[in-house]
Amino acid sequence: MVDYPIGDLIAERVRAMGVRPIYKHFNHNGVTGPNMATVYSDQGHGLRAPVVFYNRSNEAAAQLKPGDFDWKSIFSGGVKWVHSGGIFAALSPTTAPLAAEMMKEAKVAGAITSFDLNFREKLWNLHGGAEKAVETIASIVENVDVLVGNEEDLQKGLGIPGPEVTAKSKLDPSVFFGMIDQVTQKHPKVKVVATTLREVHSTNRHSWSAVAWMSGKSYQAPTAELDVIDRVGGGDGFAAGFIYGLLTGVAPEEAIKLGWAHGALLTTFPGDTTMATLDQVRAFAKGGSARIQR
Amino acid sequence: MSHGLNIRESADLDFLSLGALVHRLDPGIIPFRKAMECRIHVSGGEFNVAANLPIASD
Repeated sequence: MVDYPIGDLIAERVRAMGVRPIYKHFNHNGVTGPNMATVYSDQGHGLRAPVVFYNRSNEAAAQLKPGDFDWKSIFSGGVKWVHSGGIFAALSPTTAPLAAEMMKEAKVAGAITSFDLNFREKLWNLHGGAEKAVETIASIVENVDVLVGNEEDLQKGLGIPGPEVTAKSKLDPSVFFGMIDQVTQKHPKVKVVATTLREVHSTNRHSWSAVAWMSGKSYQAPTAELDVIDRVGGGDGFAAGFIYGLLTGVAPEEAIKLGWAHGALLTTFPGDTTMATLDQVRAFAKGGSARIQR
Repeated sequence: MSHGLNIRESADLDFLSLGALVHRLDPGIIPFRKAMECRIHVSGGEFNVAANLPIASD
């Protein structure tokens, strides 16, 4: 967290969303940073795709490194679930070792660990390219129970060879499920792999589903037709709903539906975080829309 | 347990995530090269997951 007005703005939203922050603070020099990263993202419309680009120069988070957080103290009261993701891991040569350090300590503390692969080639190209990405991500995933990622994430992030089967469509999970054996051979501690499936018909019309492999069994959510207001955050919405389901002990097929429903609802709101209530998520997960195709 | 995860029943922290917080500038349907105003969303993949959980569990 950078102590300047943009940092204050961000910290206020963190509080508003009910998240307890644990920050490393940085002083802004008034001119060049360090900065909180900026994402530029228009929504597009219809046949015009959204356009996203970043300014991550001199980003404070990229300076985070192993030893910056006292994990033993943070986890001392117990922790159920610990999570990180591939964009943070790709920010600099020090962020992935920090994520790996956290996952290792989280397992010692008895937590479930999850990692959203979120592979971004442009970021990894700044820090050693494809081979380095696989090696670096492996150092994190060796202590991860739950992976979130689609087949491209599994290929590029974990270095799993390309699929031998060809998907019939973006909603066909056969390629994803066909890669699981290789994922678990390479990373035998991984117990769950989950992803969303999205067929983009236009900027505002997507077909949406989700799948998960959990300890040898496959689960798939229904397919919904989405009228999208803002697609950013849908994948994180899926992860949150899915993790919420697992944390609250619902059956695996219910957990995947909660993730699917929450991710779908998130695309109907502006912004990147949820405006849905738990009742809305549960109702949609049970089939609360006339547009659901089963 | 069908998902194979042994989740603690009680703990001080339900969920902890590590990541970068960002701010996203959003001019809506107007392309950036023509934009004159925009919304500011607070985001970051890891934060988003954490932020979605308390609301979902209220």
